[in-house]
Parts: sequence; C-alpha cells; structure tokens
Amino acid sequence: MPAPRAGLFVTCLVDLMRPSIGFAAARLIEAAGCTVVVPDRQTCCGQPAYNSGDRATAKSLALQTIRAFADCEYVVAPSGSCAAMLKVHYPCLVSGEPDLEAEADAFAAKVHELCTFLTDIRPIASVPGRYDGRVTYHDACSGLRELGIKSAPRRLLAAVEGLELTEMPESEACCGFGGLFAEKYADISNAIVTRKTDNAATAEASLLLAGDLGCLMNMAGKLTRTGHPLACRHIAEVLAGELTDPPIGHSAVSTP
Amino acid sequence: MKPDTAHFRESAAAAIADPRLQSALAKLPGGLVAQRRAAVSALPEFEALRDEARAIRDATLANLATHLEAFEAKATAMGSRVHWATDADEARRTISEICSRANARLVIKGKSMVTEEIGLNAHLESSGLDIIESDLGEYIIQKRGESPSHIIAPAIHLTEADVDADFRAYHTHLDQNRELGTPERLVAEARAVLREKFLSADVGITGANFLISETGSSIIVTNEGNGDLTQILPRIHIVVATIDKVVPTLNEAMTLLRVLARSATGQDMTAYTTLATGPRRTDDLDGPTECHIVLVDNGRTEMLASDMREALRCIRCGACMNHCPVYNAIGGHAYGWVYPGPIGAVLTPALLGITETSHLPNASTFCGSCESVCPVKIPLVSLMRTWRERAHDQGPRTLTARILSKLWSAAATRPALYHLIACFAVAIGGALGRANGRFRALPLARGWLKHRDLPAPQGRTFQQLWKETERGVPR
Amino acid sequence: MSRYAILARIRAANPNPQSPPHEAKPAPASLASTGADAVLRFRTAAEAKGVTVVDIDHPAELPLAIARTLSAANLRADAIRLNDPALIGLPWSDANLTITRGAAEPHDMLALSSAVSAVAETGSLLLASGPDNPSSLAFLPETHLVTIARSTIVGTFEEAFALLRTRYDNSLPRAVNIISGASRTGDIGGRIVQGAHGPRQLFVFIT
Repeated sequence: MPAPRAGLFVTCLVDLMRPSIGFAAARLIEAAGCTVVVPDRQTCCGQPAYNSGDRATAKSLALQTIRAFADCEYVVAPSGSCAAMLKVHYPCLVSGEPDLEAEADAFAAKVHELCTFLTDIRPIASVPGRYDGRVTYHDACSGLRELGIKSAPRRLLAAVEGLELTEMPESEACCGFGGLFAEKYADISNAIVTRKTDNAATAEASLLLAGDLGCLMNMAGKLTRTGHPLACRHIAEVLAGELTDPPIGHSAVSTP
Repeated sequence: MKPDTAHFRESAAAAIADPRLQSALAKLPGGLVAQRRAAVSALPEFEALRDEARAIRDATLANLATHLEAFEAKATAMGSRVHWATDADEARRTISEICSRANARLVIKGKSMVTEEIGLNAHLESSGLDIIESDLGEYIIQKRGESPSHIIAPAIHLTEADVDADFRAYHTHLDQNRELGTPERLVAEARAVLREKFLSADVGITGANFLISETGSSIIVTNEGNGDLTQILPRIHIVVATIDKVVPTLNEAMTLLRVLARSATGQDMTAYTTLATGPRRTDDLDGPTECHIVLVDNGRTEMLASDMREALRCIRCGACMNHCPVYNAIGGHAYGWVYPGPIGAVLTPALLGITETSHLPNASTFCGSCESVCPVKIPLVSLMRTWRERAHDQGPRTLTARILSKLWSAAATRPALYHLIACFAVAIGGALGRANGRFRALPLARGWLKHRDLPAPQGRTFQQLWKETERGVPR
Repeated sequence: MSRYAILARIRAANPNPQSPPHEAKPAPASLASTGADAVLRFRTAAEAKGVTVVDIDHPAELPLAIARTLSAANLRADAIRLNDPALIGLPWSDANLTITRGAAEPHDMLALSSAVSAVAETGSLLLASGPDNPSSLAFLPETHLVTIARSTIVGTFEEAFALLRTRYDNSLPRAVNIISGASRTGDIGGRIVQGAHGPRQLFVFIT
C-alpha cells in the first residue's frame, strides 16, 4: 500500500517567521509513514480576517485552502489555532450553501493538528528527537478548547529521550496573544503575558514549549525583553530533534 | 449610569496601573475560580446539568410569550400586581409612581443588575426619595458613587483597607476612634447601620433570579439575607426583572439553581434562596401588604429576534468574567457600563448599539475560557465575533487600518503574489534582525513592541526552502 | 399597552412557538438519597455549611436540648420567639426560656421555626411562611433555631417541591425560604464573614 499523502498546512507564521518548524513537522509526518506534500496555493488560514469581522475575506481564504489540499488524504498543521480554523470554523463560514458545506465538511474531516495526528491518527512508533533537560508546556487556547488537545503533546514529550516535563501553574491560561489583540490592546495583552511568563518561569525549565507559533512569539518576545533566560521553541522542533536554529527571538550569532 | 465604553483602552491602561485594584483582582484565581472548580469536581453530573440548563433556557425562550402570560396570570391570582415596561424610561416611571402613590420616603434595595441597567437609583433620588442599597458590596459602592465592577461581587475591586477608610468617612455619627480594621468589624458596623434602614424603609426593591410561571413566584438568591429583609419588612415590595427571567416550573428552576451557585461562588446552594409569592396573607404576621412585579423588556425582544438570542440564556453567575484573562487584568469598571467581562462584551453592544461599544467585543483574545465555564453554554466567542463583523461592516476605525487590511486580503487571496511579497519581506526582516534575533523597535507594531520584542524571521520562507529541497538543494 | 407590544414582539421573534415543551429531567443520581441515608447526608451537608445539627428523641426534650446547645455555644438568652402551636406547649421553663410570640422584632436574640422539609443534597431547610412561622423569624434574630421532623427530610429538591405542591395545592405561602446556613458575606476583601444581615448562627434540631 502506498504511503498516504499528507498535505502540510504550514501556517503563515511558520512560513514567514520560522521555517524550521515546518521542516520539523514534515520530518515527523514522514516518521508517521506519510508522504509530505506542500501545496503552494496555500497562504493564510484566514483567521486574522475572520476574527476581525472580515467574513468575506475569511471565506475566500477558506475556499482557497480547501481546494489547495484537494488531492491530500490528510491535512496536518503545526498549530492548534490554524487547525481549529480549518476544522471547526471553515464549515461555519460556508453554512447555508449546501455544496460548499459538503466540501468544507469533507475537508474538515481530514484536518489534524500535528500532535494529535502523531498520537491518534497515524501513531508514530518512536519520537526522533532527544533533549537533555527540563521543559514546560503551554496549552494554547484554540487547540485546547476547540480541539481538546491536552494529552497528545504530553504523551509525545514523554517519549523524547532525556526530556523531563515540569508543569507550570495555570498551564491552560491564555498567554495574551489573541492575534491582532496583542497589537490593538497592547497593555492588556502585556498584563496577561506577564502573568503567563511569570508562571512559566516557576517551572525552572530551560525550554518553554507550545504548539502555536503566535503564542510562542508573544511569550518569547516578553521573555527576551525582560532578559529572562527561559527560551521558547515549538514542540515540533523538540520532537523532531530540529534544534540547530536558535530558540525563538534568539540570535544565531550569540545564543544566550 | 452613563455609559463610557468609548474610552475602554484608556480605562484599561489606568486599571492595569492601579496597584490597589490589582491586589484586589489577584484574589480571583484562588477565590471564586478555585471554589467553582472544587464544586464542579464534586458533582459528576455537572456537565449533563449544563446541557439540561441550556435546554431549559432555549425551550423557555422559544415559548416566551406563553410562559410570561402564564406567570402573569398566576402571580396576579396570588395577589401581585404585574406591570410591563418596554424600556428603561417606562420601568423607571412605573416604579417611581408606585413609590409616590405609597407616599414613600425611604427605599431599600436588594442587589439587582437590571436596576443598574435602567439607572433606577438616580431617577428615584431625583424625585426626592432616599435610596439605600442593602447588599454589602452594593452599599459600599453606592457610598463611593461607583458602579458595580462585577455582577455578583460588586465591590470586588476594593480591599478591606478601602472599606475601612470609606466607613470612617461615611459613618460620621459613630466614634471616629473606634476600632475597625477587620472584615468582621466592618461587617458588624454595616449590619447595624443598615438594620436601622430596613426597619424604617417604606418600599423594598429587589431583582429576581427567576420568575416561576407554575407558582407565580419570584426567586432571589443571596448569602447575606439582605434580599429577604428587603422583601419582608417594608410595606411595599417591588420586584424588577427582565422578561427573560421566566422559568416554567419549580423543578426547572432547580436545575438552573444547581448550576448557578456552583458557577458563581462554588456553593451548592447560597445561604438563602427565597420563593416570594404575592403580598402577606390575611393571617400572616409579617410581609409586605403590596407586591408589584415590573417586567422589563429594554432591548430583550430585539435580542430575541436577532442573532444575539443565545445571550438571553444568561443566568448572571459571573463565571465568564472570573475566568476571563482580560477581566482578570483590568477589572469591571474599564468596560464602562453595568455588564463587564465576556457577557458584557456581548450584552452591552446589544443594549447600547455597536458604534460606541465596539472595543468591548474586540478586546478579547478569544481564548474561550468563558464558554468553557458558562453554565448555559452561551457561545460567547462566536457572539463577540458577530459583533466584530457588525463593527467591521461599519468600516475600520482608522485609514491606516483600512489600507493595511485591504492590502493584506488582496495579497493573501493571490498565492503567487503572496509568496513573492513574503520572500521579499522576510529577506529584509531576516537581514535586519539577524544580529539580535529580534527587534526592539520598528516603525510598525508599536503596540506589540511597547512591552515585548518581536522575534525576527529566519530569513527565507518555508515555501522557498521546501521547493529547494524538492529540487535536491540541501537545506 | 406595553404588555401587548412586548408580547407581540416576542411572538414575532418566535414564529414557530409550537416547539415541544421541555421535559424536565430528574435530579442527578449522585444527589439522590432516601431514609436514614438522606438524614445522614442532610446532617453532613448542613454541618459543612457551619450549621450545628442536634438529634433529639422526643419533642418534649427540645427545650432542654436547646438550652444545652446554647450553653455549649456560649450563647445566652432569656426569651425565645416562636409561634408554632406544636412547640408552644413544650416545657420551656425547664430551659429558663420565656416565649414571645408574633413576628420577629429588631432586638430579638433567639427565634425558633419549624421547617416543612429539609433536603439532603445541600443540607437545606424549607420554611413556609404563615402565622405559625412568620418569615422574619429566620432573618431578624441574632440566632436562628429550626426544628425538622426526621420523616420530612428528603433526598432532593424535586421531592421537597412535590411535598409543597401536595400541602399547598399549588398555591404557595407568601414566602418559602430555603435556608442553607447562616447569613454570610464575602464582600469585604473576599473573606467570608458570618452574620451579614441575618442570623450569625443556625442550629437545627432533628426530632
């Protein structure tokens, strides 16, 4: 039986800011026995437009994305937030149009967030990464509450050789990112992320992990601004052992 | 109260910079939030009860007219006078007429959000009445000239030191050198002061948590017992309730009560839950001689006919605000009107219009904590998103925002163009940010950069690099 | 006028009011109990709310039991306000208490009410207002005492409401007070203080 085709929905943030996460995700999906394809008709999932009230743009991006992955058996995204957009909200965007609804429902059924894909859909025999040290994990909101992602990342981290996971207090509390919220309501966002990074720091870990780059950029930006040594990485980087690039917001020239 | 929702951003910044408020808010996670968690985990059927509560609310709203008529008929048969008010003005006039017919001078009140909404106190005061709030938290904020900052804990923004100073300032008839300082002493003082008011009040005004069609009763829940003294001691009892408060039967109300107290304070039942049914009976030794029930619409029928209908399920437990990271950061006053937090961000635009209130549904991270605890499963995030759509349709606030949003959607819906621009932008960003791995300042993203760095891009897009690996170029 | 306007707007918003009436579900199984189990659960739940619960074998023992309980709690009283004919004839002089009758008055120290039912699921008492049990007795005095017949303690509120429906033929007394502990507030500094506006302490005597 030929390996199933899994389309990688890269997410715009990973595409633009941190391609290393995309490669880590591709490596893990291959380890799960799939052939990875990256349709180049994908751009952004449309969530920024959707959550800004621009339903028309969100809908055209939904249709663009659905069609870009037409020939894939699975669609896998290294982000709970984008995966929830594809899986939960695309069908809502086309509701009332039966043909499109069927298309969006069929698409939604093949969409998976990376960690749950690796535990529940195509369980991987072993996790390629190895990390000697203590990490802590932030449950990003959309993945946690819209897709129920809670145990999958922890099960995968438990399989990483050398890694020790220490839970922070309030790991399920929002980091204050919220997309454009962080820019538009910067002071409130700052109050929330301050509480988050203070909580993360109490875990006394060397790495703060999460499954969403948006949250990670927010927390990393706060930690580097305050000079805190806790570094941030996407969980896929640790699982895949893709650790050559410096942590998020850290310099390749001098890694602290 | 006069709404001030337009200055949300400034009010929020001031709230964050207020250390006194922050120390009061810091008690929420270990207080109401932890208490709810304990209560919920002690009841295995809690999740099923949420579904049942939601079903009860939906079924009642679907037949609202019939249930209201049934309530009116039964309440009238039990001796209450039922009044209907389409808006705040009519509600205020109705209540004020009842008070003046009774030659009332002093009115004592139980805690009621709808009377805050319709600005009842100011109206009654302007017609020469003395109004005293009897819920301890409401009493404190009334004395301070503030509005509630939380729907069930109105003075949650204050510390005991604040209350100590306030009581010394207001209770000038008492010895200025008396010892206060502890919550016990402060409560005892308020009890003594308010006891006098209960005994001399002519009219008692309460809200209603529910109105029961089956029995024609109003239900209030309190812990202090103030609502009961309000409806037992004065000659006249006035219940003010919005039309969505009706519940067909006692048993259905019980399901709602089971989720209400647990969601609000983590109690399985508040100290006092009272079913009040009409005025005193001929052989009764106490109770009011007249009982009036004022049913207020004030925007509810519009909500019922709109896509905001689900918000009418709300039973005002306050759990959404207790669990909201934004509310936890800024408290209730910054929202600028009587309903704060996620339910306020949905309700306030529905009652005041979206034009002046668009900050409220926008100022959310959409983390979904509110929905996950709502006892009647109101889809708060999607209702806030619907308000964002309304606000968006009215046009973005600034020209820059409008241009950026147009450019972004033009590019994102044209993949080839998008990837071209992306490669270009990322190359520049990568080159500029390479040395530090992050930016501390940029001409854009000023809000973000005010408090945190912006991680720099790695310099190439994933799409670019992936195509190269497909062509066999090593990464 | 407003009545018709509001009802018409509701009917316009609900074009299909024929949706089936909601079928109320029974109380959650984990909250149900009967018989001796219900009495035990009532006691445990009430005690968890700071209520003192005392068992007595014969109603005639009530005055002495009250005297002992008050003394153990360091409470002093000369008079007790009560109106229930079933309680008036008890030997109150044994307890050095004189009876006062009528609705509660502002400086009452002690009042005794009879509950119509009690509910095990939350340790709550149901008091029905009337000449025997004016509702002010439950709110004005410093200390509130309640008697409850063991046989009327039920598992859930649904059972207690059924009992009310039978007794009052669907026309409830002016007030049904469901009491679950003494008066309390958390409004100052978030800490719970007992005795906000109502009784500071609640004692229940199961007879």
